[in-house]
Amino acid sequence: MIRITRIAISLLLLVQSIQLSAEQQVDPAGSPRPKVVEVAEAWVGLTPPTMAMNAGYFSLSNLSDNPIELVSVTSPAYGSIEIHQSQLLNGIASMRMLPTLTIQAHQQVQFESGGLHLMMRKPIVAMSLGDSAVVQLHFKNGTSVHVEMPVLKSKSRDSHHEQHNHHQHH
Amino acid sequence: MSILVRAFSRGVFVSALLAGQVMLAAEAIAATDDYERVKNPVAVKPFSLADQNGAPFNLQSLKNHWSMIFIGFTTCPDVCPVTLGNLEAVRAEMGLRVSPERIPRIIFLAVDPARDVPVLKEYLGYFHPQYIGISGEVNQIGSLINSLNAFYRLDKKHTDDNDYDVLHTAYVSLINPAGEMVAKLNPPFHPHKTAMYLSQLISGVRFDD
Repeated sequence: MIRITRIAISLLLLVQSIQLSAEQQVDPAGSPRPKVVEVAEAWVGLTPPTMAMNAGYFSLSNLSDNPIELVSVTSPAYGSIEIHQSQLLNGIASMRMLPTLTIQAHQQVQFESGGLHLMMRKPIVAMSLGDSAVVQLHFKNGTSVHVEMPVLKSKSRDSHHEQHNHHQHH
Repeated sequence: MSILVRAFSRGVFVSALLAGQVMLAAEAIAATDDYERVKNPVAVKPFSLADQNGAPFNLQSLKNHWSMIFIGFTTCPDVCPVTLGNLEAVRAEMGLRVSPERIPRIIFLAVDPARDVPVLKEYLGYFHPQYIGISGEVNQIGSLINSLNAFYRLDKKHTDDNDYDVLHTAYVSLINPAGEMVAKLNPPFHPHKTAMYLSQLISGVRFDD
């Protein structure tokens, strides 16, 4: 019971921190502007310490009336971060790097296993469960968003998928 | 139930059993072409690789076991961990349906030996200690890849490229205890459906597609 409460509290804190980061959207001059981007369900895959990379996932919503373009992603926790897409063409699995990603007005883009993901290379420290990676999403219009991405086990990916499929069926 | 079945004549019993198989097969095939039975099973040709502990792994190592061979590489953070997780879930679910010695082993064929061999043991141990990871000389990897009718390529953009992607066949090859490839399992390796398909195939009750 205590454990469940603790999980619930950390989930609440997580949600709050994401909302806070999304609220902290400022233009280059530092003045507040209406919220343009909303980030949810952010997480980083737990990987073996020998692996010099992680994959990061979230959903990205464009709340504005104009297209927005994600031009770069940076983090103090990683040497480099690229936007990648896993794809399956004629039975061959491969990955491609996307220089930028455009999200149309009032649309949501899902980063998820087997599709879009952040390719996060050269972690500065080994990430373990309970850790979070802070990343910053930079958009062409000058908006930047901080996102805290908790490290989750790969098993969570399966349950995420099950839930996802479940929703699609109903 | 079993008393009732025994009361039937042999002919009625067989047709009742067949009807059951048709229903099971229909459930697994419904709305998916994720699984392909190889019409004429292909014998895997001899090859010589090593497992993650450095022990030899060759054609003989495939004999007397069912195996699922998954082609991958260790610097794959997105798809490979999920596939390994799904295949483990398949094995867990098969435990309800077939005896342990007939549940296929998971064999991770690491096709990028320069980057894979040094970390293969730790990489696989992180996901599950029972996984078998194999790799070795490029020509020996190529030999097994050919037997699986598969493909891979290290996608180096230039000779010093260390962040290259690896293109590879996405299907998992099912190898029978005679060392023959008998089926291809295509992504997304849904644990329940895949376990149903494999359990029926391995129990020998599945009709050919």
